[in-house]
Amino acid sequence: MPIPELEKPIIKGLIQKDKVVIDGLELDGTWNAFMIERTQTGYDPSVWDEIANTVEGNTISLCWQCGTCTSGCTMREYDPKYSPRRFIDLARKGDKQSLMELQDSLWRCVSCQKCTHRCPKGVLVEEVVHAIHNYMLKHGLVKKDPGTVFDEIFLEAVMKNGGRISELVLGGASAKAGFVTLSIRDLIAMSGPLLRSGLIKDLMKPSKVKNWDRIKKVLEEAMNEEVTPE
Amino acid sequence: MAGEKVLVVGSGPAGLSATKELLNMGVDVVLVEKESYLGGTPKKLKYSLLFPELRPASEVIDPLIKTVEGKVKTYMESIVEGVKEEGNGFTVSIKDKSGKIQTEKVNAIIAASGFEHFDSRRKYEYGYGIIPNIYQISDVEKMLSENKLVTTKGTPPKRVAILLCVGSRDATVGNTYCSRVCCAVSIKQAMEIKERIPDAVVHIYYMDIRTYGLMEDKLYWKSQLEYRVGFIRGRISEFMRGPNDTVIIKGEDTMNLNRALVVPYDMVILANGMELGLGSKQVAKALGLEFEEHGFVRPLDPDRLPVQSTRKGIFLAGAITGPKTISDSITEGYAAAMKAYEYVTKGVWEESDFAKRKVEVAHH
Repeated sequence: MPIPELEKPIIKGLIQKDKVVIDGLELDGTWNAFMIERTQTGYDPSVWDEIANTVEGNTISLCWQCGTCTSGCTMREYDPKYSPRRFIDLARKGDKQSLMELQDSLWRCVSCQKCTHRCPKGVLVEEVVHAIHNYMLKHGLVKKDPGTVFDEIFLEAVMKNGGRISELVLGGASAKAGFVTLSIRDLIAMSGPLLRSGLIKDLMKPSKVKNWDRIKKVLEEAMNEEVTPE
Repeated sequence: MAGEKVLVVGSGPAGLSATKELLNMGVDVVLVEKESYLGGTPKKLKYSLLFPELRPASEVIDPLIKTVEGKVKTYMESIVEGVKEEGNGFTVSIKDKSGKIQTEKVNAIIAASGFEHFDSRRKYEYGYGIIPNIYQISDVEKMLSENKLVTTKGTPPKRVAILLCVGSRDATVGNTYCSRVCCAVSIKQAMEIKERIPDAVVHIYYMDIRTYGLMEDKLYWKSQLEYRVGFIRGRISEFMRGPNDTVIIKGEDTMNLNRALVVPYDMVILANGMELGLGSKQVAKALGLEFEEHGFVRPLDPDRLPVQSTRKGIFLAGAITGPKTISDSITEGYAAAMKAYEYVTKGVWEESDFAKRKVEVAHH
């Protein structure tokens, strides 16, 4: 008789990895399954310090955990795990493990700014949440989320095509990254009007921004500049 | 009005301020103090800085001592043994350390014998007195004022945990009240520790933060904004001895329910609350006062007549009627002095039947 507990692990926090290398040896078989640590054995105080020292995150120390931000949050309706209050709390304590577990929620802010306007302590919540997410990305603690991937594709398309997007390049790259793009039927439906109006020329060969070579340099310089709060 | 005399029991902030005011009004005062020095608990435990202004305690207490010292008849290292009503006053017998009893005839009495800190050994699971590097806020004040905040290894602590509500709001030790000052004292100590050891990690484990009134921004907000003191909601349930004389806490982060906490610290500070203490209990018994349901001395009417006791001619000031800050105690000292002055010069004694009413208390 099969034992249901063995057949279907019901243990919360079990993670399985396709490839595990420990001390230079690759593990195989059943050794690739791990339990996430079930006790919290320490907090990393450097997380708070690092986030508070960024331009976006410098209001994190004002938070007193009242929950005004989260109770009115737009995103929370769609993702019950999305809680700016909690992200701030975990970041200030330095509970990286818990933040890693929330990585599918952490990036979802739509920047409606309700939280920032309502905060009784003047925390710029939207910016702080982005600062926390940026911290996690910078230290490689979370996988690259769809929002960041799309941002990168978009920026790349703009920089490649002389200061404006090319729908073809952007669509192609998005499809490659696994995002839902236009179907063949949509493309066929769109091609008629595009051909008739002559806009197809712009689509195939987009025109560049004036003085693009000079503007590009300014943009690149700005992107490479590291900004630190006074 | 010549010859009026008032006995003041206790020379803490409340007793000293009452004595000072009575002297200013031209009333003779007899002061009885159990210890060999004036100043009460702030002197006994060598308080460092006072909240919320973060000024040295001596700035507040020393001027009070100065105005009183040498100007009144003082019985040091003595206790009030008993009181007998005589005419419109009392005959008080005062016993000194050697057991010698002297009597004093007075017109009124102000009881200002204060509180004692909760002894954390009564919460055995916290390991105070057994596990090294566990201290109470009442011990840490002295360590801070003498600049000797070190662990048993002789080095300054790099990781500090402060646990609030030790011996307060705890039915297991019979104290169902909030001691009012421990939140503020703990946050003040956390800031003092961060000021001296900037790279230290200080976590405060709390159930609620009660930095009431004008202390909210000066302590609670400031500690987070300027000192990055961490606040973790949850009451620690036990402490264990870790390697290298560290203390391992066992708790729960109730704000983020996911995992149990098992975290090591170099030093743990227990925010022990206030109790009436044996000293004040003896005073209350000797003076024939009543106790209220939390074990403190019952005032005649807690709202309308807070400094009058249930016995005619005896007044109360300071933490004998419940947990109080130093400034509250000083204010009550003034109030009690004024009431005592009215009583000894004009015989004014207001009545209230509140204390006689049967009070229904919500039991846990």
